[in-house]
Amino acid sequence: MKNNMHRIEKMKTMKTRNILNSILVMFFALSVNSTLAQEVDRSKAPEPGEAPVINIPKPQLFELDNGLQVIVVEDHSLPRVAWRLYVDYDPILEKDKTGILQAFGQSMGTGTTSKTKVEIDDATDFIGASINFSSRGFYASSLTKHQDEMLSILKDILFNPTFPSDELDKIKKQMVSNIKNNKSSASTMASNVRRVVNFGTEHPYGEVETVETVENIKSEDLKKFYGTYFKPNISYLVVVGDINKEQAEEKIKSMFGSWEKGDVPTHKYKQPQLPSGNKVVFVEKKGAVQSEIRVTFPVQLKPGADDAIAASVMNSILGGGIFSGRLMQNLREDKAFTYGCRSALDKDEITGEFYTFGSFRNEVSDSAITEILYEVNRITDELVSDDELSLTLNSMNGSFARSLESAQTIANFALNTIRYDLQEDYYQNYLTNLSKVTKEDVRNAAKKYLHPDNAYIVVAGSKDITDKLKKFSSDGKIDERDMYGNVKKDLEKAPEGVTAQSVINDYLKAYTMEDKMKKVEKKFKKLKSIQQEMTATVQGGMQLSFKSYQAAPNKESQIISMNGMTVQKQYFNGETGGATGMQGASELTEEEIKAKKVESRMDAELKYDELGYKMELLGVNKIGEHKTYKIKLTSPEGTVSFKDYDVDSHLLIRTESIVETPEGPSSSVILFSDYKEYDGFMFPSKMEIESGPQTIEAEVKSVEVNGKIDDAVFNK
Amino acid sequence: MKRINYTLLALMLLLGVTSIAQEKKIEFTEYDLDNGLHVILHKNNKTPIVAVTVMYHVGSKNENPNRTGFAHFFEHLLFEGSQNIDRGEFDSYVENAGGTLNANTSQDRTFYYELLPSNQLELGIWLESERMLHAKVEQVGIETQREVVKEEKRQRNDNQPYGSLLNESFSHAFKEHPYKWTPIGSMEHLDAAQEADYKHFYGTFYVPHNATLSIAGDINIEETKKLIDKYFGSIPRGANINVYRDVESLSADDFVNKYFKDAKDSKKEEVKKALGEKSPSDILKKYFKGNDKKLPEIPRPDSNMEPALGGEVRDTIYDNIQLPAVVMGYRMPAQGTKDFYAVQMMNRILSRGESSRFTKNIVDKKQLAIAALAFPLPLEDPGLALVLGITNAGVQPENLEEAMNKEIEIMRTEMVSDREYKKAQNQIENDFVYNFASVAGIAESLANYHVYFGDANLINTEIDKYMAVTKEDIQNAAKKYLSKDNRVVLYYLPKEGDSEE
Repeated sequence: MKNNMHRIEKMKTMKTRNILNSILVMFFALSVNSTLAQEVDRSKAPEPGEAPVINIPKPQLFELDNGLQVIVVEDHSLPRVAWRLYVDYDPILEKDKTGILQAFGQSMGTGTTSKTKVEIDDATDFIGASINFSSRGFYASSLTKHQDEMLSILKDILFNPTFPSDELDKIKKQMVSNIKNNKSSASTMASNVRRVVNFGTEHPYGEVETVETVENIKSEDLKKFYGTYFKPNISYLVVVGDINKEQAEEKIKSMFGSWEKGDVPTHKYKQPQLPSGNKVVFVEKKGAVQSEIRVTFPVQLKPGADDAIAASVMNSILGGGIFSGRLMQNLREDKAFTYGCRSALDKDEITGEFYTFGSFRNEVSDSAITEILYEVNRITDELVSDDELSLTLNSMNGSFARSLESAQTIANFALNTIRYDLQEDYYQNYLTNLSKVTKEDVRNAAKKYLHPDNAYIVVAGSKDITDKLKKFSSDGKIDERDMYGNVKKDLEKAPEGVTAQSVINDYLKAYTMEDKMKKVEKKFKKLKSIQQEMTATVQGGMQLSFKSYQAAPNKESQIISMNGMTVQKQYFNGETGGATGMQGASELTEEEIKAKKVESRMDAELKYDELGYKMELLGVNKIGEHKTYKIKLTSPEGTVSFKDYDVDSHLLIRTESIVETPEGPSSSVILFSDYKEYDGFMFPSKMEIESGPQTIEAEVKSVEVNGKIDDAVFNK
Repeated sequence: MKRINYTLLALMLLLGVTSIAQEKKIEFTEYDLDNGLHVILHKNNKTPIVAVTVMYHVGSKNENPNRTGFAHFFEHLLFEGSQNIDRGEFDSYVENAGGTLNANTSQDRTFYYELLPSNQLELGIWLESERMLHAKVEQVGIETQREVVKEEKRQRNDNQPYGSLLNESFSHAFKEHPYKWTPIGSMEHLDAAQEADYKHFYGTFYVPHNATLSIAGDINIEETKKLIDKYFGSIPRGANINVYRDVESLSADDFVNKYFKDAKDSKKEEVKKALGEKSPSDILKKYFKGNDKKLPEIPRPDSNMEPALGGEVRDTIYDNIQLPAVVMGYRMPAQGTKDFYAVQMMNRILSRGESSRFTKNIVDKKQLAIAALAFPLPLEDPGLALVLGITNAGVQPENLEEAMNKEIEIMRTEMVSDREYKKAQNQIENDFVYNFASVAGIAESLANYHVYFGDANLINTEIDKYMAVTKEDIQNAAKKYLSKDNRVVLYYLPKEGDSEE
């Protein structure tokens, strides 16, 4: 509207100034000419200019007397240099010390015969350098002017490591933290399981570190590994950047010349097999709003194989590219199931693998699998279109050219050529060979390397979706795994005659130390109150104290305090209840009160049936050394918990409660042990409370049965 | 004679002292087109590739509070095509050319780029000029991208441990300024968006005088200028760009109703006839001459609208995480201010590298955290510096917070050591060299410096601003900004496993 008024006003003024106007028009016309007048044909994309010539600079190679092979790539465009060492031993089985290779990499640089970690870190940071060690060597870079300082730090770390135990302990602790933290990462779970099913746990690529395997790593193991495998005769040194060959050679000779060579053990592994049909492998991630899905299988494809380029083209059409891959087009652009879905075809000297990857919202997880399998099938059945092929060849051509911007690429080419024994001009000829790939080559590669009927379909997500996954499995079964890829075993059947009620009854007898249910009932009638006091030590020596109070018929209260200050109090007086504490106060809702009235009864266990609880005996379970009967208990309000009762002692040794949250079900676990008698009842004197990655160990200080309790504890 | 020599000598000394790292200057050419588009060109013939980039000075802070997430959503939509590019073709043109493309949206700006073989320069220029002149958004594209953005949010924020960290920090730290929401925004708002919203956003912010075209790589400057003139020079100026878009997208009746409502019937008929016969630029020439004189002002929020925090804000966030985290957000000055550079230096001393105070003391020595970081977010308006730690297994967040508070207190009360100060300088110098390792990075930096500071040459001189920060400046900045009154403290706690259950 405003625009319109403005225009009309303008037209009026123009009329009154006719003469001036015509002059202006000419002037404007001219000035307009320079910008608007060339009518540009925008309707068609411009044609490309002549293809640029791509030169791959030749790296300089030489070998030291001790067998160390050196690759130098000069690049003086920026005043910086990068040094990389690659120790090329065969992959190693880490077994009950899985994680040792990672721990080794992190331990290098935590101490040398003359320097502490703090000194090494400070020297490195001071010059703004970065030095990173892995189990296969190092990658280090700095500005040219700080290069010598960096090399002297590197030399000390590489040749005088001491692997101090206290530093290793810290590293292990961090690794354990990470492992536990990964409980909340669906993608880590999915990739753990993917590796385990593809390669098996007897293969270095199928090993997954656990808390236990990490705990097993010792400083001596690292020393042994270093002494066995870090030898110059199986190593490559790659120097890239603002340095010339002469300078490099001089520095390398003085730094690595006295490194002693030695025999290094070699290792061979069995080739993993494809599954006999499609198998659905599921790992639960409580509270997941999306499922991480991988369709995957092992692949025998070595770098530099005759059809390696065709296989890459094939994977690129299927699930590579930017947005043009079929998986991306179908599942994102067409169906909007996901933010991204791609595939990878890993070439490897020992064993490669294929996998699609993406995360999909729960409701469409099964539809997503259908579409992924459809696309994997389609590319093995039908020839790809001319357009797809030319797009992919162009795109791979471009990405090859772009990668040359980094001198590291040139160095990697040189390293690969030697490591994989490629033809000397493999990379020089890469673009020519790429351009020769045909549609038939692509289909042949798909037929040879893709196995849509012998695939693992790995899903990490919410258990709600498992029913919809069964149809993808050849045998209709779901192979359930834990986050490390271990099989979740079905429970053994309980012996004839054992029922949920009989297990509970046996427990009640053991708990009350009576031999007849009549006597148990009598004892419960007399039971008026229980008070327990526990302490727990958490990180940093902080002491937590728990007090719990119960009184007949259904009052209860728990108070957690730290240094005498109440952190949290939960209370229920039989009618109302709530919580107060550092996280604010809250009141129970009507529904919660209804549930509490039943759950808080001191005799609830005695009257499960009467109160409307559902009990189900799931079978015989094993917890640590103990055989247990596992029972699923559903409260009248629908709250589910699992309880494990020791087969021999009949006592309760584990509970797991499932709590509904807006993000799905979530669990909390308590382990009970070291039962002792207190006032004629058996109570555990130790508890382990698992809360996420934290395990709080609590010790019972006192238990008092039928003592006097101030009613105030059951109120706010 | 003598005097000149002395001046030269002094100058050389000065340069030698201040510009330590910039042994090689980044050369560039810059100019404005008549329509207000700013152009920056950098030639680097090392590899036969070119980065074609356009930065629009619009981000989530320009959004209507009832349409948060719109700038980022709009970025997705602008890959849908144009009057001359069909749906889905934007990507395939680039891939077919062997290139790559993407875009991203921050609170302050939206950045699009193509990285192409250098013989495809014209393609990149054409694509970006199409996006600027007359992008086309169809309903099917809107629906698809809406779902894609929702999945992006689920993947990056909802399903990612601590993924809501930015949203929560900013929403607790700001009450008035649009920084109170983050670029991902609200999915309900996106659902509510109407066609008028798209048109308005495009018409207001996607105009040449709100954009910077930055091209770096294997180019010939003069030829590139000609191509830019051809494709971008022909984009109308000022209000006329939206008239041009309407000529193409509205029916003749709608167009006349919009622009010639009060004109005589004969005039209306004439215009309708012209619309059928003439090209959009001829229509502009004939009926909208002079309409492009003024460049409409781009609406921007008042950078100082946010009052001081006025006291510590504390809250607890329950998230799908395993390890509790302590997240502190300190209100910070805008990027480019003297204080901001001081804060940047301070952040390096606190958490850059293994020998930094946080890592050395809190992560390594006391084992209270698996990671502890301090990083100011560079923002155009006064923003936030985040200081955060993720607890080690079994550590209470209270204990971690205490340790973090202690380090911050030391920063406020004690001068940093000479060695730490020199170390921070060395690290900055290193960063500057590494930032310029790719033509894409150079193109983006040039655009950034121009858009935010009106000085692309900061690519060569900004390091001096860091080097000018003194130890006193660092302590003063710590005193001024790292106070409890100026911060938000959030505890991230796991949803599951309340220990009293």
